[in-house]
Amino acid sequence: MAGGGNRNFNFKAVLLGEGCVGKTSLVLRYVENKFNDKHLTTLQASFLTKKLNIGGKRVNLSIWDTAGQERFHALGPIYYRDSNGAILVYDITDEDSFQKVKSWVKELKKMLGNDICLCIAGNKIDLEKDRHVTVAEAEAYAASVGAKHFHTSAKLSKGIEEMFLELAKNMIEKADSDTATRPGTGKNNRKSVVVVDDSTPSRQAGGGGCCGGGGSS
Amino acid sequence: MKIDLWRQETLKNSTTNPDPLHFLAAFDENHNQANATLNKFPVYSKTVSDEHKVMYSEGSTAEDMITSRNPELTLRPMQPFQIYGPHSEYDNLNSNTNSPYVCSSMQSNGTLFHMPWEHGIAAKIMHISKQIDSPHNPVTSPPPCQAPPPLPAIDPHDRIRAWQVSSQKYAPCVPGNDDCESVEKRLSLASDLSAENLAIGIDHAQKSQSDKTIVNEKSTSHSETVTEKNSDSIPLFATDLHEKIVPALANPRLLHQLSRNRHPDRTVREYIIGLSKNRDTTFGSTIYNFIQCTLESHDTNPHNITRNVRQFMTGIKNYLVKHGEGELEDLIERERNQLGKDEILNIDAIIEGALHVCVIQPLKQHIYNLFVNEYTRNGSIRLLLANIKYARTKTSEEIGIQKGVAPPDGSTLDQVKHYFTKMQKSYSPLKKLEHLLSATSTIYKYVAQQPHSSCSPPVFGADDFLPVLIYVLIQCGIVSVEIEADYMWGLLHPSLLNGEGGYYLTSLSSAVLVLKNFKEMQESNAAQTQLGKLPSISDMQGFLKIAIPDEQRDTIMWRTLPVRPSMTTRDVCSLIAHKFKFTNPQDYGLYTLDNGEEHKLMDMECPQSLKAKRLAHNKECIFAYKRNAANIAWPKSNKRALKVIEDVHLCGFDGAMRKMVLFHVWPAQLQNSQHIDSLGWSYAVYL
Repeated sequence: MAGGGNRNFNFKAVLLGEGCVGKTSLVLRYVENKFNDKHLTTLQASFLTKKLNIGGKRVNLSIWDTAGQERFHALGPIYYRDSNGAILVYDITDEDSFQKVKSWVKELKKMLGNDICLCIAGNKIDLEKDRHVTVAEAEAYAASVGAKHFHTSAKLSKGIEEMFLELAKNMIEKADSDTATRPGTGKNNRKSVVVVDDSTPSRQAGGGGCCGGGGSS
Repeated sequence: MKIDLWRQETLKNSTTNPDPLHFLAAFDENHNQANATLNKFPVYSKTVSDEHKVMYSEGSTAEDMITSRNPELTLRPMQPFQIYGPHSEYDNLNSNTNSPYVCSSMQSNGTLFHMPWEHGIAAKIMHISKQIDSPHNPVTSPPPCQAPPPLPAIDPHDRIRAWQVSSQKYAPCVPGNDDCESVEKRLSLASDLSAENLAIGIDHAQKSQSDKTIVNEKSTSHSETVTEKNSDSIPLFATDLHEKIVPALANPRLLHQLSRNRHPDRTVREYIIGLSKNRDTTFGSTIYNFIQCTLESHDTNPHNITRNVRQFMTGIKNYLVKHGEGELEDLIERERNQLGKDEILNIDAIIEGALHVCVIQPLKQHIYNLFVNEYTRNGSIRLLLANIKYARTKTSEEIGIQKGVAPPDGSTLDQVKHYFTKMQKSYSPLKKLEHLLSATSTIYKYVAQQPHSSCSPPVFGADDFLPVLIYVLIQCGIVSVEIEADYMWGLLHPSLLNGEGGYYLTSLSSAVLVLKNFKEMQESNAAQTQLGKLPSISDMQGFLKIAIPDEQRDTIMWRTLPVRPSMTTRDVCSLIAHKFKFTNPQDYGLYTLDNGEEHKLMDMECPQSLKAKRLAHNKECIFAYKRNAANIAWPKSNKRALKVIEDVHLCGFDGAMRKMVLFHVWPAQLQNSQHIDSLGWSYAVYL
């Protein structure tokens, strides 16, 4: 719920990308500053939160991981519903994963339009020697769809802070401009938030008459 | 010391869920007890002709309702959950395995005596496990036509009254010495954790007072962790993460509050519940009217009803906050003056909790009823059931669990099932959500304990979690799981849905969605591998692959075009004619090819829906655009084609003209070629 008034923001960011591109490691590195290279333990990393303070604006960021296996592709809409931002991760050594990012972008644009801020992460830059997706191609593509592109490595902890920070800034901007352009609807226009004003709500169900009376007086 | 007592209790119940909303459980129990007796001795077992008028006991779950209406829609847990421990004095009721009571024992708390806590787990701890002879027959349905006798229909007035009477059983707490006594009584009697755990929820809710949401997301954090801390059992997370989380949850304030024995929030909540019963107040009469209207309403869409209930609760809460009622404001003011330095009253959370008792509880059965009707009617339950049965024949890897992750078994499954059962029995959506979180937490805990081989995943993200959740649902076989999820979606306050609770609820819904399509997906995958057919763009929705015979060169051009589902044959023909510059389109037509036989499509047919239908039946669906008069001998089947060039014209969706050419090279021909990637095909993409 992107409330603008009191400089407090709650944002939801969804993490999309093929399986094995390192989505989970990326977010875990960001939130916990750890990279689990040695397979020591298993960490819960499906849903993580991070608190940020950007120029006095407090941001509470919830990061939703998604299952990237092809068989779960149809689940996308359930996860990205009501997201303020999306991070699309591909593996620079895997051309397929980059194509997958493109298809996600297309879907997100179609379903959410410009309501959502996009960041594209070319992950695993520690494996630069095996790169299969050229920097120029990736950056040109990101620019063409209005997304920021970042080169990241969960292993080396590179580019991750910057990426989330940039995303958070974009989301704040978006939220602020939404508030500015739609002062009437107030804090947000997301459908997940039922804005119910004072008194009892109107009811379409049968027999509305007898319930309507009491509450509003 | 009370704290010690509490700790002991915690240890004893370390397997049960700590209960931040204990008051809700108390109401649940009152109801269940009363109705368990009613169900056992169905005095008024009159036959009700119209099945929709059957009024179920307040404690029955959606699953009970499904079972009693459609006995064939029942599923047992994969491994029978044995009942250990002391038997009740009504044991004769279930001594006969053919009795309907036994059959529904997994689902119904109304027909069998249930100790408030899980027999199995407690008994296992005490090493007195005693196995009941239970036929290992996981997928048998109970004998039909022996559903538990329905309770007589009660009219809504009686119902609301009955509810009011039962809620009065919850003795109000007066701050002071009495309270101290009642706390101790509770500690010794409580089946779940003591009521003091209530403070957990509230405390967390206080943490971000700045945002004005009604119930704070934190209140639904994995409450399991608290037990972990107290019982010093296996760490839930990796140690360092554990250390980080636990101090946040095992708050000193909880213990502090315990020693102080004051529960300002409870006092306020009880006052609100009291108000709701008083029909002289605007608040009470509005709630009464709303419940009545909802019960009498002819709207049978459960989603509408849950939405109305949610809106009503939000609205009436605003009313209460802005206008007050009775002495509520004075009471809050009084309590406020007594607050300690480190305490606050989260009014929103308190009112929300009270409203669950006043509004949702009386409506629970009605809502369940609508959901069961709706999902039986549209076949969702049947579909889910069939898929669960099918999925039980598959290995965990086929379900999607990654190699190296052993799926949960035995006691873990027992425990998850236990939480799911509790989830089904609660009426409060918040309570349901907590039980769901306890279940997911059990899964995480299980995975954390596993010995890791080098190939196991270092982190347990959604890629790993979701398949395990699906697996667990298959094992537990809860046919009403979709109803439970939608119940929560409809009734939870929206502010909760972007938090952790929302995430795991989303995961639950996703798991249901995957399960419902499980068979279809497996079979189409299997069919594809059998035929040696590889997925291509033309299998995707929105594309149509069309064969266009080139009569000059005696070859076939394959073209894949973006075709919307709503486009008719005529639209597709004109699209092709335009795109490939046929000057005499009136001479051409669109055909389907079935084993080389042509069938002309009608002008108004929709090729996409035809394709969807045939693919659903795992049949090939080939379209051809050809001159009506041309006689062409088509190849019998196109799967033998050595090389197919797919020319994909992507232009429809985003306006940009792109051209993508895919060369499919069949693996058998080029087995040793270096062009073949892991998928078994090589390709080039040009944009």
